[in-house]
Amino acid sequence: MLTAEPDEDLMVRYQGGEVRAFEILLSRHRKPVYNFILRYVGDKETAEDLLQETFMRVIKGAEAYKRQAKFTTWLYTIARNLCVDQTRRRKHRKHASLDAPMAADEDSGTCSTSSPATRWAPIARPSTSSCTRAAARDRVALDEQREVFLMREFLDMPFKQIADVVGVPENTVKSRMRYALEKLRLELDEYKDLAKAAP
Amino acid sequence: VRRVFREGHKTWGPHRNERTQPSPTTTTTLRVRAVPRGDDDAEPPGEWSSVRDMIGAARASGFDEEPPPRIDALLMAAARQHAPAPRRRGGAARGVDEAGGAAPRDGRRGMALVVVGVAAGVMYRRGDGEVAQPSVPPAVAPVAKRAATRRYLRADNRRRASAAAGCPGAGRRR
Repeated sequence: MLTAEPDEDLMVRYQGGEVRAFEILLSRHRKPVYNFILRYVGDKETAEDLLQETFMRVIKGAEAYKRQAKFTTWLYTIARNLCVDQTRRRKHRKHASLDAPMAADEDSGTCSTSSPATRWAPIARPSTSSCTRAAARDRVALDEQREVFLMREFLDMPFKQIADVVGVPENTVKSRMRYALEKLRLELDEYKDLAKAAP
Repeated sequence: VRRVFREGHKTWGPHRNERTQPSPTTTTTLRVRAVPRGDDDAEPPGEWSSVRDMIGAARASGFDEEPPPRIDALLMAAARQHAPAPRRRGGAARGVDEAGGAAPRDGRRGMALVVVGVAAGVMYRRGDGEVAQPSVPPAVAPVAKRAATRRYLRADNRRRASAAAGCPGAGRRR
């Protein structure tokens, strides 16, 4: 049965012209890929576009696919690269001038990234802030940690595969994961009392 | 999430700076999610358990969203349109086209063997396939042997001559 075959075999079958094999691949991966993208970009419409684009690239690049490569690594590398490109584009669009006057709530000199909502949002994307360059650097670090966190916790990927997808050494992935978890725990600490008070 | 916090806050793991001091609250934690296969260097169990409990609870309660079905239809149409043509031969296809191309490849291999066998047979019959002989004469025998051979041949000639003359004992050394 085709449904029991591994992804790589199905991809080889699709290379041989079997469209049914691609249908199974799509039904297997559409939901996890969509949710990965959705949590990365934080916007449904964009996530749908990127999901479509990801699988379009799989279709168009099917002939170049080599059986030696793990299909999910290839798939999530495409999805992740699209998410990174999208994030960059959005940052460029929404980037405010550093010379512009600060808003009233930023008068104190504190960065907007210090608010609980934007310091670390494990699932939703933090809102864009143009406070300082340091804040932008922090956001890049958060993006890096978020993608590792999502792949590890929501896709159950091993560290080795995450390292292949992200293109960094395995130990870097592990340290990003640790930072992500620490930040998340600090964020959740604020809600501990609320949880205790709940019936 | 509330339930996780209510039950999980007691098993909250130690902070990085507090890890040197053993805490009684971290001893009975349980991981919800199994470590992925092939991940031999995962973080130690017990740590981050409450965070993972929360994620596990969120996932169990249908946290994931379903993509709209119209995308499936679009993608399937595109897949049909761009489906690669079945491959017959070619260098790149050889490595990947295993399911459809195995039988023709075996046939080609057999044909090549037959052609090589026939060619070898024809060459053998015509003698073209013989191993070339060295043009250099074989190494000369040692001088002592050559002298002995000369003596033997001389004696043999004498014997033959005497035999021809009707004297069988002639020429033999006493």
